[in-house]
Amino acid sequence: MFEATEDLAGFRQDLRRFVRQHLPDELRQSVRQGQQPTREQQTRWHELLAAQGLLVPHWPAKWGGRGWSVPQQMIYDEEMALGDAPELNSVTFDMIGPVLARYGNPEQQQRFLPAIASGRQWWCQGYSEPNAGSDLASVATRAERDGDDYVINGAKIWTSYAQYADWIFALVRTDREVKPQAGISFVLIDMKAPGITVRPIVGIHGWVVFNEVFFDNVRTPVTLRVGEENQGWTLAKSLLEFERLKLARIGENKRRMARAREVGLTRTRGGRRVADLPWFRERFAELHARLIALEANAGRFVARQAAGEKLGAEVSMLKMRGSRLIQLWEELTVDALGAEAMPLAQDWLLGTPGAAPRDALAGTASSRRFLGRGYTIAGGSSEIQHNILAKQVLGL
Amino acid sequence: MTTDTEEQQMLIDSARRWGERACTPAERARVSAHPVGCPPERWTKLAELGWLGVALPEADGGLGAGLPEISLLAEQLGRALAVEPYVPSVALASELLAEVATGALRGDWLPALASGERRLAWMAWEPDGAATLGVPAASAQADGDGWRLNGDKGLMPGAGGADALLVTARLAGDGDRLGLFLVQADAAGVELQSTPLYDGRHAARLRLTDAPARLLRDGAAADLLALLQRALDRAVVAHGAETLGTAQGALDITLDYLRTRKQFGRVLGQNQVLQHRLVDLYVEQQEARALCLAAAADPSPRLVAALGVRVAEVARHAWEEGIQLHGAIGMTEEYALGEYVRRLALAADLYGNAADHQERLAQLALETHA
Repeated sequence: MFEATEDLAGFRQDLRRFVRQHLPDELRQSVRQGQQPTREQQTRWHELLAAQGLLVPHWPAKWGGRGWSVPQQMIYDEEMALGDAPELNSVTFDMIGPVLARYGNPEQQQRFLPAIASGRQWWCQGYSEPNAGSDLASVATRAERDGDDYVINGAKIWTSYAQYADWIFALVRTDREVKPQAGISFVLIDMKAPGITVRPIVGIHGWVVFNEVFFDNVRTPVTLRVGEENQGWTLAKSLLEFERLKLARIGENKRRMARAREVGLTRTRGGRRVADLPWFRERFAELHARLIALEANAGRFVARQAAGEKLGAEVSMLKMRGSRLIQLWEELTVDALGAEAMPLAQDWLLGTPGAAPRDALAGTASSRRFLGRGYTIAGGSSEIQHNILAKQVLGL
Repeated sequence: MTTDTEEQQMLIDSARRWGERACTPAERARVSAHPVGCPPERWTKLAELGWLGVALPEADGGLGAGLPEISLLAEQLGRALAVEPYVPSVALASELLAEVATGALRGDWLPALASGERRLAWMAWEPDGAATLGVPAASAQADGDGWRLNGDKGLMPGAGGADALLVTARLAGDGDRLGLFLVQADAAGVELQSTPLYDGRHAARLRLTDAPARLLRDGAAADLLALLQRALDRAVVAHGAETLGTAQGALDITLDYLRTRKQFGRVLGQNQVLQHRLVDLYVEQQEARALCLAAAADPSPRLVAALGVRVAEVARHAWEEGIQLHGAIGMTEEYALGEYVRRLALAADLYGNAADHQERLAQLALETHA
C-alpha cells in the first residue's frame, strides 16, 4: 500500500518513484511510442494501482478511496502523465464513480463502486447524439416504462471507448411533453444487454476512440436510474464538477513539453540543432510561458478550493487554456520533426501483430497532433466555455 | 483574494482609495506637466502612506515587507494610471541600494528614501535602446579615494529629478571587472536629460564626463551582472503587476462600453464574436495575475522570464483589442481609453521586451538539464 506523506514535495518524489518502479516496461514503451492501450493493458495497470490504493485515491474512504486533497490529486495526475503511465479513463474514475458515491442509492453503490475501484469494470458515457453534440438538452434517445424496466431506443455518438466498456451511463428522454431540460433521466445500462450495437469510428489520428452506440429495444431496470425521473439534467451537469480542476491538464501539457524539448535537442535542420533555431526557441518559450502561467492559475484555484471556497463558472478558463495549449505543443513538435513525422503508422498505433516499432518521438507525432484536436471539443467545447465565461463571469 | 493577508488587503485598499482620489484625469495631467513628472508634495504623500519604504528593512526606516507588497501596490497604481515613478524608483533603485549598501551609507540613504526626502534612479540600460543588462560601455578610473566615470546610459523612466544615480562601469585596466557606483546628480560632469514619454511619464538619459563616483560593489563581470539581474528581476515582477493593473483598467473600460453601446438595435456585448474576444482578454489577464503573484513570492529566473513574456503579450493584446472593440472613439485623445493604451503600449518594452524574456526562458529550458 502506497503511503501518502503530508509533505507535498516528498509525496511527489514518492509517486515518481512508484511509477518508475511499478509501471510495466512494456506498457511504458507502448505509451511513449503513442500506441493505443488495449483494454487488457489498461486493466493490468488498474489492478496494479488498486493493489496500492492508487486507483481511486480521490474517492471517499468508504468506497476504497483515500479522500486525497486537491493538491495531492493534482500532483498525482501530473506524475502519472510525466511517468508515461496510460491515461486513466476519466469517465469511469472521475465521473460515474464520484456520481454514484454522491447520488447513487445504496444498492447501486454496493453493486458498482467496489467493481470500479477494483479496476476491472469499465464505463462509457452516453451523452452526445447525432443531433445533440454540445447542445445536450436536445437528447432524443427515448426510454419508455414497461413494468419494472425502461425500454430504450435511439443512438449515441462520440462515445469514447464504448468498445472497451462493460457499462454505459446515458441521458435518455423520459418525458417529451415538457421543456427539453426537464424531461431527461440518467440511467445505467449493461453493454451486454440485447439490442445494443457498437460501431467503432476510426479517427483521423488512427486510434479507435469514438463509437456510435445503437439502442434497439434495450431493457434496463428502473432501479438502475440514478436520481429521480426527469432530473437527469441536473445530475449530468453536476458530473462535470468533479473534474473541473483536472481539466487544466498540467501533467499532460508537461509531458508534451518534455517531448517537444527532446525533439529540439535531438534533431537537426540544415546542420543546426533544432533547439538552436530562432523560430523553435521563440515558439517553445512562448508555450512554456503559457504553461507556467496556466500552472500558477490552476494553483490559485486549487488553493481557493482547499480553503473551502466554492468555485464558480470562472474555473472554465482552465479547460479552455489547458486544452488549447496541448494542441500548440503538438504542432510545435510536428513542425520540428518535419518530414520525419509524416509516414503513416496506423498498424503500429493499433498494435497490429508484426507491425514494425516506430521511433518514440517521430513515429506517432502526427497521430498525436490529430488526437489533440479532441481536447477543445469534448467535455464542453472551447466555444461553450467562452459562452459560459461571457455570461456568468463577465455578465454579457 | 483569499491568499492575501489582512495587512496586504489594507495596503490594497489604501492604494485603491489614493488612486481614486489623487489620480483623477486632472491630477494626472498636472503631474505629467511637472518638469520631471514627480511633484515633491505628492511623492512625500506616498512616503507618508509607507509605500516608498514598504520593502525596506524596519531598521532602515522601512516597513519590512517584501516584493509581494510592492507588487500589490504597483498593481493598484497601475490601475489608477498613477504617473509617479514608483516601480523604477522604489522596486528597481531603492531595492538595489538596500541590497548592496553597507555601514554609514545605509543610514545616510535608506531612511531618506523611505521618507521621500530623496529619490534614487538606477541607470540600468546602455544607450542603444535595449532594456536588458549587459557589460557597460562606461568606464571608471580610480581617483584618490574615489572614482571618475565616463560614459552614457540609456533612457530610464523616473530618473529625472533623482538625487543620485546608480550606474555600472568597467574598472579601467582591471580586466573584466565591473563596479556599481553611486553618483550624486548635482556633481560636476553629470548631465541628466529628462524627457516626457508618450504615456505621460518622464524618463531621462545620462551622460557622465569625469563625474565623481563612489564605488558600492565590484566584482567579475559575470558575478556583478548576476547580482544586478536578481535585483532587476524583482523590478520586472513589480512592473508586471503595475502593467496588469493597467490592463485590467483598460478591459474594464472596454467591457463597460460594450455593455452600453448600441448598434443595429442591440448592445454590442450581445454579439458572440465580441463576447469571445472579451473572454480571451479576461482569461489571459487572470492567468498572468496568478503568475505575477507566484513570481512575487518566488522571483526565480523561470517565473520572472515567463511573467515577462506573458505581461508583454497581455499588455499588447489589451490595448490593441481595446481600440478595435471600441471603434474610432478608442483612438481619440478625449476618451478615457487612450491613456491606458499609451501606457500599455510602452509597458511591453520597458523592462525587457517579449523577445528578451522569451530568449531567457528558452535558455533556461533548452540549455540546462532539467
